Amino acid sequence: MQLKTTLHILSLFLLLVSHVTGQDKESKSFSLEKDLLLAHYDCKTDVDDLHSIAAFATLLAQDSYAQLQYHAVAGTYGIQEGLYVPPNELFQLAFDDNWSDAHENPKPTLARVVDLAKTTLENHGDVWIAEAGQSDFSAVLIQALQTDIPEIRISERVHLVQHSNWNEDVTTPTALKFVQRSVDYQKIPDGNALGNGTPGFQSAEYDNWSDHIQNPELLATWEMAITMGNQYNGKEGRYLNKAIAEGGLDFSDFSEICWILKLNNLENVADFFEHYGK
Amino acid sequence: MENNILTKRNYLGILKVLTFSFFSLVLVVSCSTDNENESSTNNPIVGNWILVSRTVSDVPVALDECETLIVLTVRENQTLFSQFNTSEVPEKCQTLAFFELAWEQDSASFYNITLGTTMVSTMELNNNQLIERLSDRDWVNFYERAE
Repeated sequence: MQLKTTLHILSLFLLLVSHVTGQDKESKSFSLEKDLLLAHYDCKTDVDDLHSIAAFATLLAQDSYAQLQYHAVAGTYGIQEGLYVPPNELFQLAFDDNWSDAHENPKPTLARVVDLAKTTLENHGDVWIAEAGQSDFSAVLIQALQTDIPEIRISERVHLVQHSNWNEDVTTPTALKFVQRSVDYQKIPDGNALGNGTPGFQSAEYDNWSDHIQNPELLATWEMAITMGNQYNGKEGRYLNKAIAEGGLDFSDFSEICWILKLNNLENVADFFEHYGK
Repeated sequence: MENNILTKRNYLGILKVLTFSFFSLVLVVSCSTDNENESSTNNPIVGNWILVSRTVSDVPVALDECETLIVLTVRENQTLFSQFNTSEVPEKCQTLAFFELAWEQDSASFYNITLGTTMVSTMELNNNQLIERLSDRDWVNFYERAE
């Protein structure tokens, strides 16, 4: 009887310890003061990145995210075939000079991002990667960080969030395995679908975004994103995004940034514009 | 006096046994070292390999330009590593990630390839061609020996 009671107490204690440990791991939050958010966009061949860029710019325009430290990277694609969607004009409008071009200038881009990530990690911040594409670029970045700052636990201090099975499938297989085992890799439910635990940011019907956006710069950003999206959607063998072709919006890749920043109040496209449009 | 002779005989006997043991040990050690060298040096997977083709779900697919510039080196120390086979690497290929992998012989012509403790693929040596089957994708890579 005594043995049974002791075992019960022991198992309850172990359960409590494992629960608390698990909670700690899950509840690691983005620090606006110390952390760096890297937004990686493949821009190949789906045009949804363009709308996702405009959505991120909309969030950055909020007073509450004025001090967010971020860097956006264009051209972080993997091994998919097809044509690139040239996004540089939109990146410049959305992020000013706080972005790099891994498509045209892969080496300088890598050097710049490694430098930013190292500075953050050395100043006790964490690095969060919103992987709006494949993980080939992230693999090289992580490898460089491991080499340059071996004293820092990259596996605990670098977090990578991915929402798409397809993005994983067209990442170089060894690079995917490498990032999955080297950092805090978080696979989240697909941001294209509703009601799965992440916001569903794809809608063929939603077109009244301009009723909400009042900031002229953001208005220009969304107009450019939509114009460029229509210009390249399904063209010359590129992926045809049906929601966008029907006049709707698709910023499904923004779901990873919502996950990182814990924007749990959003469910869909309309929610986003109601909360952050003004 | 007799005791001294016996001691001398014993001493010579012990010396003979020790000498014999020493040479036997040297022989055994040198033989086993030779065998180990022979097995790793002569393992047919060791050497340089070039990716020549790939199938995805049994359908041939084109290789990326960057992939055609890579040589896979399978080392005797049971590691393998990729690198460019040219110094004139195009800009777009310069940020490719290469990883130190490990190989272990599973059976006569099959090898397991791992990244740390993670299984990456199996390789089969078949008529001087190396066939790599990825562990979680329907991909098959075909390599030929580099000249």
